[in-house]
Parts: sequence; structure tokens; C-alpha cells
Amino acid sequence: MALSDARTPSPHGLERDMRYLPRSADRLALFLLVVLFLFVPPFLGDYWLKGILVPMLILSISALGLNVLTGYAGLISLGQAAFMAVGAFAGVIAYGRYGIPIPLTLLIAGLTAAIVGAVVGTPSLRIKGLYLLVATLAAQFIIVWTIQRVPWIGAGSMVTIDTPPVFIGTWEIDTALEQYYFALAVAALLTIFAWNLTRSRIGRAWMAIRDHDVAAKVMGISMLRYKLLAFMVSAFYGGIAGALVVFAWVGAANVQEYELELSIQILGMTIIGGLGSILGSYLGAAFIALLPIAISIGMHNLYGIVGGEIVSAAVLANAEHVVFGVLIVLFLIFEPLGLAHIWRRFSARFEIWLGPAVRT
Amino acid sequence: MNREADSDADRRFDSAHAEDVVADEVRDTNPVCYRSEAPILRTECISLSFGGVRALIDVGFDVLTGEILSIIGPNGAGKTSMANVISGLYRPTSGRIFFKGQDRTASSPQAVAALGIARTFQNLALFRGLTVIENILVGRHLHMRTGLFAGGIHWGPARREELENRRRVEEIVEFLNLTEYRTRAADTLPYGLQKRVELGRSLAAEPAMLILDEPMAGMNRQEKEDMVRVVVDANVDLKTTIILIEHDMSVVMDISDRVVVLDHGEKIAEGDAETVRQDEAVIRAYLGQDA
Repeated sequence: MALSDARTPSPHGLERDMRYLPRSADRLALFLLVVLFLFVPPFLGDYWLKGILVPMLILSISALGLNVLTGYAGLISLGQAAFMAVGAFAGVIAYGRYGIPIPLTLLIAGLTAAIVGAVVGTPSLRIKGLYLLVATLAAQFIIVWTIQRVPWIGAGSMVTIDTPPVFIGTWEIDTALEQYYFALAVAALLTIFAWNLTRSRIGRAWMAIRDHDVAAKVMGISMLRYKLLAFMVSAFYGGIAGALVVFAWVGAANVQEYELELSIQILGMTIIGGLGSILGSYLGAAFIALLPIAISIGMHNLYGIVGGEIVSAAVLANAEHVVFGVLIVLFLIFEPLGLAHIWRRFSARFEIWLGPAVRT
Repeated sequence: MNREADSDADRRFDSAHAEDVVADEVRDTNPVCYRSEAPILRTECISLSFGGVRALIDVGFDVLTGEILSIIGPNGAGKTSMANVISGLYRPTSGRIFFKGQDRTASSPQAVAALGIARTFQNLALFRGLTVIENILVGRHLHMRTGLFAGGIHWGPARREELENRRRVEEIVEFLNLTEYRTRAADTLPYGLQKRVELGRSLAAEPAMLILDEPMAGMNRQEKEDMVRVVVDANVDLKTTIILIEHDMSVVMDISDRVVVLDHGEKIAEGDAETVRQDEAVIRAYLGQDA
């Protein structure tokens, strides 16, 4: 069995401990996902790309950011949508008004959000849990309100700024497929960064604060530094996601897209997907993105059986809210570690089923 | 009460003498080369009040470099309060603390850790979501430098540093006989092992001084013996000065160089194990007689 060699603390064993995916089931799954995400989209229509995949990727990035904050550092926040708004407007101003190249614009969007995030995160040094939730809730409203009111930002009464055509170098991103690959590339880079980061000294410091802040302090971990860092990283990811909404999805920055409801939705994604899991952020976002479709199909079938009227958009929207709420409650009670944990259990089984032959 | 005035006088007296006593004063006659009569830690007239409750009343003692000093006393004697004051979690209401001759009374826990003081907790304080190795790796925090960008990129200096520190952690894992549990989640281990992991985490910091707050509480005899062995090894092999806080007198008598006894927040005795064992005030405190 593999247990015996996992015990050897040889240098080789140390490298083994640091592998990204120790389980062959996980490696297989990742390989399939990469193939799927790279080669299948060209065969999908615009509805799938623009309606599901691109928003799913963007929300995954944002959820990933929130997961760093809430899942790893244990600091809850309802301000993620506001950070996205900051990123969206910083991006559209940098690119549209000043003509800064897109890669740099994304960085500016992320950094602007990170600065705002550091300010919003300051109360976390004194308060946590419910009180921090309320403080970030206040930040959510203040930020959105500020964007609407400050004339320099230029959101004005229309609360919207359109972006000029999006060019990276000479490559114009205008078809849905190009937008998808653009979002995918950004998501991939940010995922690898977060994956490394959460496994590093920094990630361990965050988890130490989450699991036992007094013990973390005594081990020399600075609350000031690491809590604010978590807020900044989280807001950075939110900011880039917000900028991608503008440049890879809707083509405009609109304040009304970043209301509290989106913050709640992103928090829901991290809970359903799995707190403290990179994979969970994606699973949660995918789940929430696919949920409306599943509900729509389900409702149509249900009406077919019980013989109701035609399914209206209003009924669907309400059903979505109800199902979303119920799911969060159910996950919190029965699977607090989310879909990622379900997958982890499954992959452990799969590993045993594969047998010792493939374990290297 | 007269005590206030008395203690003020004491405090002035003590601080006036602090500097020259703290100065190096290693005696050649000492049989163990790393032990010295120079205090690594000096606490002076420490008082601590929470509202009306006085948890510590003018407690002061020296911890000599390289020794095992035990703090014992009945429940509620103020042992853990003293540990919290030393590790910076509580700011004493009055009194001063010197570490290696430097006043660090007002230091934060984080600054205290950076000075080389580590501790364990009476109630388990492991990072529950982390594995045994990861828990101990957190103990290496102050020995590592990896920042945000290096950590996010991983390959290069961050990976080298990570490997190097993981190697150190493996040594501790082996030292504590935790090898077969190394990748288990900390909160799935039995109580005695969790205590050992916590000790490992504090040893990983390579502290000059280690505070162990009831490391043997709730253990059976075998587990206690194992723990005693590890504590002595840490003291002898790693040359760590140890403050051992224990409720159970019999455990500490064998391994302590000196013992400080607290009762109701006051120091009632100090000396080697035998002196303390025969001290009347100590016997009274433990047997609860009002003589």
C-alpha cells in the first residue's frame, strides 16, 4: 500500500507532500476539465458562451477571491460585489478614458479594488463574525453609492459607462468565443496564483488565524498584516472579475449589476462549493450558473405532470431564490464543506477502486 | 491595605537591581554547560486584575537560562494567567517583564514570539483544519520569509524555502514519534497525540524559552511518561529553557530544576522540588487547611 512510502521523510517524500494533486483521480479530473474547457467551447453556441460559461468563469474568479477571505482566513464579507464594481469602473476608466492596454488595465482594476479592500478590511482587526458581516455590508452600500455620486467617475444618472472596442495589442476581442478564451486565460492565471498562495506560508498563516487566532498570534503571525492581506487579495480578485464583466462579457460598467444580491450570491457560491477550497469556488460558481437552467427544466416537467399554466419568467425567478436559499441552508447543515468535500470523498473512493497499480 | 505601599517599595528596589543581576553571570561550577545562573526571563511584581478580580498579586520570579522551572498550584491559582502575561496575551496591570535583559512588558504576543518565546495551551489550540505537518509548519512561520508574490508563484525561492522548512518539520515529527500521523488532519487525532502535535508546533519555532501550560492534563500514565520524556529531551537536546505549568505536583517533582508555587494569585513558595514539597504553606494550599 502507499501508506508506507508516504511515511518516509526523505527529500523525495517532501516533494511528494507538496504535489499539487496527490490523487490520480484528481489528476484525471483536471486533465478532463482542461480538455473540456479548451476544446469544447468552439462547438457551443453563443447562448452557452455568453449566457453560461463566461459569467461562470467571471463569478468563479470573484468567488475564488471571497474564498481566500472567508474560506481560508475565516473572515466573512458581504462586500464582494462592491469590489467587483470598483474593478469594473477602474477598468473602464483606465481603458476607455486613458487608453491603458488591457493587461495593465486589469492589473489597475485589481489593485484599485485591493486598496479599497484594505480600507474595508480594517474593522476586521477589532471585530469578527456577525459584526464584521454588518461592517462589510455597510461598505457594500457605501461603495456602490459613491460610484454613482462622484462626478469624476462619470457613471452619472445612467449609472453606466460603455467600453470602446476591446483590443489586446492588435487582437480585437469581439466574438463570444474570443471573450470566453480571454476570461479563461485570466481565470487560469489567477487560479494557479491562488492555489500556490493558499499552500504557502501565507495561506497557512490565514488558516491559522481562521482556526485559532490566539494560537496564531503566539506563533508570531501578525493579525494586522494577514487579515488586511486577505481582504486585499480577495478584493483584487473581485476587481479583476469586475473588469472582466466589462471587457469580456457585457461591454459596459453598470452600477446596478453589483448590488447586494450579487454579494450574497457569491457568498452562497463559496458555501455551496466549499469554503477553503480552490476547486470549491469553481464548483459553486458552476452550480449557481447551471441552477436556473436546471430549475427551468424541472419546472417545465413539473407543470407537465401536475398540469399547471405556462411557466412564466417571474415564477422561475422566484423559484430560483427559494431553491438558492434552501440549498445554502441544506449545505450548511449537511455538508458544510460543500461540493468540494463531496468530490474529495468520491475521489478517495475512486482512488481505492483504481487499486494500488496506478499509485505512484 | 498595607500591601500596596509595600509592593511599591519592593518594585522600586527590584528594578534598581534588575540590570546588574540580569547581566551575564555564568558559574563554572554548573554541571550542565548550557545552564546558567543568568535569568533568561525575569518577572517583577506582576499584578493582573480583571475588574474587581485580582488574578495575580505581585508575583515575581526569575527563570534561569537552560532550566526547567515549574509553576504549580491548585485550580485558579493564577498559573495560566501568568503564562498569558509572559506570552503577551495579557498586559499586566502593574509590574515588569524582562526577557534577556530587555524590558518587554508592553510587547504584543507577536513581538514576544519574535523574541523567541513559544508556548502551548492548556486547552487544545491546534489549527483543526490543517494536517499534523502543516500545523508544525505554522510554527516555522517566523523562520520563513516567503511573501505574497513568491508564495503565489511558488517555483523558485519560495519552493526552496518550503522544502528546507519541511525538512526541519520532519525532524520534529520524528523526534516526537508522530511519523505515522504526519498527513492526518490534526483534529482527527486522539487527545494525547494532539497535545504532542501542539508541543511540536511550538518546538518548530526553535524558541529560546518554551512555556508548557499543563501539557499532561487529561493524559493517562503512559501518555504522561511519554510527554515527560519529550519535555526533558527538549530541554537537554535542544537546550530550550522551559516553564512547565502543572496542576499535578507529582509529575513535575522529578524533572524540575526549580518550582514556583502559586495560590490565589500569590507566590507562596519558590525553590527546588524538595524544599517546596516540605513547605508548610504549600502543604496547606494543596490540602486546603485553614491553619
